[in-house]
Amino acid sequence: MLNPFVEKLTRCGQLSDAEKLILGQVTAAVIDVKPHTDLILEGDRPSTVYVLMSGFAYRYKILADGARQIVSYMVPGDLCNPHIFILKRMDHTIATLSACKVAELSATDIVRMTDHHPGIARALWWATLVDESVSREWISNIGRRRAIERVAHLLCEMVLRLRIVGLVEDDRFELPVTQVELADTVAVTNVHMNRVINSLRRLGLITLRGKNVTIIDLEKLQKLAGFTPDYLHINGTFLGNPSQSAT
Amino acid sequence: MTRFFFHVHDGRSFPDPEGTELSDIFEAQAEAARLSGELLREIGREFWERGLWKMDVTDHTGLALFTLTFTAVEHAGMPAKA
Repeated sequence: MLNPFVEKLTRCGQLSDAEKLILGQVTAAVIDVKPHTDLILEGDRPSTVYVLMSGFAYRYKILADGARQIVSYMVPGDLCNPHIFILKRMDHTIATLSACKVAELSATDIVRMTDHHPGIARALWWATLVDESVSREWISNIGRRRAIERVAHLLCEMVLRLRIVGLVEDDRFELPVTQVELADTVAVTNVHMNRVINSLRRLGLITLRGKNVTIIDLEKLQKLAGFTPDYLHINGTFLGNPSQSAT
Repeated sequence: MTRFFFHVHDGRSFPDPEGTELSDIFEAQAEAARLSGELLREIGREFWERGLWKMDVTDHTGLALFTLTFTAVEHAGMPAKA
């Protein structure tokens, strides 16, 4: 049974076998969280680092007029953020979309691991940078792409991120996100999202039934979205692989 | 909740096949205005090929509720086009 956290961080090529073991151990204990439950609110003092081990979560902000902007999705293996405890207050809310299993790491856990295991320190650093890179892509996505391109791009991204943690089978995956939530993610109205989904279906690019997404033509979908996977940095770092005997 | 259908006439759109459930007619009007802006934003130069853009909103029986129109009018001051 693969540990998605270890699977994801292994991608950066900085972890020794011993370090992978430690990361697995530290995320062995999980709590069950119901769907649509806030884990930590904007404005709260962040003392816990959440690692998503199963299910979907998201980060969002609520504006003064009550409008919601979803600023990121978390899939199994994602954490937020390794050093969040340095900040005084959360600048966003983290909540579950589906039922989730979440591992909780304390500041002490993180500091102890990174002090003694340089590979882990670099892996967490990489994970943070990837998050930032994804945020930049999302800004460009919402800022410049047409609505249908925004959704296509998001789906292309989800396929890759979920494939890394073994959650895509034959270009099929679960996306437990409602149309309203999708609309709040790519900043279009609910009705517009409805149109976009129907257009993607009509173009023969996807099927979407409830939370089940099938990508019928990934290449065409990527072309529509102008998607290239580089910003996900899933092929490691520049630093090269450490010696396997390092602990 | 009531289902409303948003049909866009821009020379290329299909009729709304399934509509969207909204709380009332006022929400439908707000959505229509916002949706119009979002769609028009994407058209750009192509808008001038027809110079007309329309959104008809109906109920589930096809009964017309309201229409939003965006029209272009070129005046005498326009330079001659090649």
